[in-house]
Amino acid sequence: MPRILPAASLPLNRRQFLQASGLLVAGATLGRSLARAADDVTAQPFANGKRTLVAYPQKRPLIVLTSRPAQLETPFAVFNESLITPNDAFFVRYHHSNHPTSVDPATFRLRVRGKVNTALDLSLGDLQRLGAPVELTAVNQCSGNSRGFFNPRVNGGQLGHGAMGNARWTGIPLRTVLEKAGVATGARQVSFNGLDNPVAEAAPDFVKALDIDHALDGEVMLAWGMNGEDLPMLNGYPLRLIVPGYFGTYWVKHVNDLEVLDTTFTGFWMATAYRVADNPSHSVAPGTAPKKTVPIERFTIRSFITSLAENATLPAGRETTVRGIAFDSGHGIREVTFSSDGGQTWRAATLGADGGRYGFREWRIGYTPPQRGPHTLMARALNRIGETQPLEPLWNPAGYARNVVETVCVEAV
Amino acid sequence: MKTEHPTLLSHLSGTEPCHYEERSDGVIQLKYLRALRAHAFSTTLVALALVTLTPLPARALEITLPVEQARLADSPLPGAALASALCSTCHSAEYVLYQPPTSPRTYWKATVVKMQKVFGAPIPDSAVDPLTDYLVKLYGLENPPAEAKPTSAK
Repeated sequence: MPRILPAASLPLNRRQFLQASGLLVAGATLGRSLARAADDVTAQPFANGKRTLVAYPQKRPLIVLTSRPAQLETPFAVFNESLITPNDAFFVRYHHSNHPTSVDPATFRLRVRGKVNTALDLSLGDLQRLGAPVELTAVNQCSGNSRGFFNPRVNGGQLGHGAMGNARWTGIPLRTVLEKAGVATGARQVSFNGLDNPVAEAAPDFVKALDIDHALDGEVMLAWGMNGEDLPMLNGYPLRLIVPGYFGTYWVKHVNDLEVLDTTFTGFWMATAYRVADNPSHSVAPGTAPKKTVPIERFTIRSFITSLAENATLPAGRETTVRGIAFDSGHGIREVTFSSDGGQTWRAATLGADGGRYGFREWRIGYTPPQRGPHTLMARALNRIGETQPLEPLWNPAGYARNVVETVCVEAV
Repeated sequence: MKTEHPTLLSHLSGTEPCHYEERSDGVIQLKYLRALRAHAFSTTLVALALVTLTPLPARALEITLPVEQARLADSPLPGAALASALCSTCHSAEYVLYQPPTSPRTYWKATVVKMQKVFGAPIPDSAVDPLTDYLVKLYGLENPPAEAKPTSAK
């Protein structure tokens, strides 16, 4: 990692530096000017939901949740354009403002240490030579996706539904790397750290951990590729952890340090943050706090109507194809049902091609509004182990894992 | 990974709050320092490639983040200047601006204390109550409808 010096030690100011270096034509510098890059505004459908859209480097204009650290949300219309979320539209979530803006892949190293037989210090080339690359299409979703819709409202990042995305990840199974190092007897967890750092030294660095059996399951992956390209910087270039079916908090970006532990990791982001009620629904009565918590883990099952936005108009008495997406934590979507009467009656939609049990699954259904006026549309997914979406929202004080049946109100004209 | 550089806080400790504004210059300068290193490296690569006729290895990926625009609102409350100086040490203003308007005083106080105790923000104990007062009155439950609204500088 490049050593960072305090500003006071630098001899040149910015203008002098630019003049001296020819920076803008020399390197692989990306990004727009330092001037304003705001392109639009939008409003989330909850109180205080006005947002700006800004094009960050390697990104189209996305909804800015916070500008420092970069936290960007995908405009929902993107989910109707393709089942794969384009790299330049994929959401961004950081915890600390000191996230990398420059990474040299030639000097990047992944360290593997701790309770292993042989500690490793791998270049990207070393990593790619350890075995055949694997590909997996998988949804990444922030634990707090849709937090802004919680009622009563909860604090935290006030996200709409755009902190999720579906991509084809290319990398190497974490198991291959851990087997190269040789996991010692008694190992219990693996912790994952990346290049991003807190601003204040005393703040807890963002480090996550998985149980050793999970880390060795062959599906958890260290990925360098996203939809056939390098990871964008803001999505973890040059290497990130892929934990299929698990919330994005585990998908550590710019990951460069793995430690095999013979204990349960006790860092802040596992032991204090990202925890849910220790009960089957991971929820509590609205306005209350859980007595006992566990780390958040797998996605709950969700579905969305993507082809009709709130207050969209469609022709009365004529068939419209309604489409959308569904996903779960990897058991696989079995059925999506659709209601056009506010949930009184349901019809089965037609599922699209199965692109893998961890990805978005498309669904479609023909819908003919019987008469002009407002209609309340809903979609509800069911997976292969019988999990489905609740009709009434579950609640928890952190605003995690919303998966209630969502409603879209449309107007037939 | 966080111990490899003198922190901004060590640079700032003991200074007046207004000195924190220097931080954004510092960030930009840090960025260009790293750009200089990347530039020197890629120039070397080009030279090597010309000599050996081997494919260019990947160069450093470098991005420049847009300058943040959101600002905390001015106010005659004593906490306003503290908030501008202290909160922005570690994060942009949207963390405050976008919270639900129903956020009560207990939330804002707990958050200020969390920033102080857990996230290492350089918040003196004497600043906790003025900060809380400013935050709840401008961005929380004690914001009268006619008073200052969350603003985002253009």
